[in-house]
Amino acid sequence: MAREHFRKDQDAQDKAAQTSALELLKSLGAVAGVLTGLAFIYGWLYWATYYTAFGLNSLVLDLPFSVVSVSLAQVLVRDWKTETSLVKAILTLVVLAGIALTALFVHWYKHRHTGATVLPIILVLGMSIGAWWLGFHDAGLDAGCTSRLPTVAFELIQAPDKVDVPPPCLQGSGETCHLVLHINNTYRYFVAPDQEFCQAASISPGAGRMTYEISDGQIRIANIQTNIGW
Amino acid sequence: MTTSRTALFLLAAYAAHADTVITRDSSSWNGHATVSGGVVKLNATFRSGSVTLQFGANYVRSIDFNSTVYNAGADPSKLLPRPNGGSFGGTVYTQNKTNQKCQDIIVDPGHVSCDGKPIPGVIRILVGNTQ
Repeated sequence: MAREHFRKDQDAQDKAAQTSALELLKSLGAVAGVLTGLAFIYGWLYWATYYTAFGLNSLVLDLPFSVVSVSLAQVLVRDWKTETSLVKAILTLVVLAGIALTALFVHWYKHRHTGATVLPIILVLGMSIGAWWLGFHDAGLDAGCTSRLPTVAFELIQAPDKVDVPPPCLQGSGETCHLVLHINNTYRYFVAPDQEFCQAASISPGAGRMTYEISDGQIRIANIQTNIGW
Repeated sequence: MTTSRTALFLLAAYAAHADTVITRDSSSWNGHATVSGGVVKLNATFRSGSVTLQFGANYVRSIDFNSTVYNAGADPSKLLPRPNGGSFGGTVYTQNKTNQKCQDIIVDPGHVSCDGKPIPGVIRILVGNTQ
């Protein structure tokens, strides 16, 4: 009788342990889902702002979900290695504020605090504005004289007629060009500012920026020089 | 009736003559360009109104002759480097696939002249590199 009672207790304990493990997994899954969704939204906001600054329509770029979702971490690491101390300080403060708000939200949520619902709204809004600002800031940096984008020069299959207007950024043209993106079989690039006018490049508000496109079918070789080290 | 038609034609002809000035800091502005004495003057329209922007020959990378007139941004006239005059030379490309290197280029509304000779159908001027 006692042994049977003990076995029942043991079964109940096992079931409780299983249920609690399942609940934990469910919670972890839900948190991971929410974090992935937020990472995608912030990543998308960042890239949409960034590419819009170069005249590209982010809606037709068809960027993969997985790449967009993980890119914000990659962007933060790159910016940490290439940015000024001021921007590094701002990035650190934003990340710390995000962690602090999340911890406060968990604490308030557990204790049924009335302000718990406000914190995620502040967090989401803050991160969205942060992603937008960072995209805008990085685009300005990469369009200028301290661009971190790879340089590019093209060799065409059919060399341009000497009397015709040459496309920019051909091999040997003497121009420094930066590659913004290669997607949908097309290279998107621009001519970098001349060194002596770097100051003017950063202070011309509202000026147009010329971005050029060349399709894979037109080129024999694209010479791309990436920046290794950051 | 004839007068109004003529006025409309002249207006359309002026509107069709619009240009894009691309500078060496990779910025670009749209408007109506003239070049004389080595200085590019661009009559450009911004949200705040019309202004005449002035660019030195050393600051300009190219001038495209096209139909673009709109400038979405703010008036940059106070921030541009001061033009320093000098000669405005470069390569002039035309619609019928010819090009010509010129030491002194002058642009009036709708007309381009290379070392004193008028050149019809110009689509682009690449500044510098005249050797």
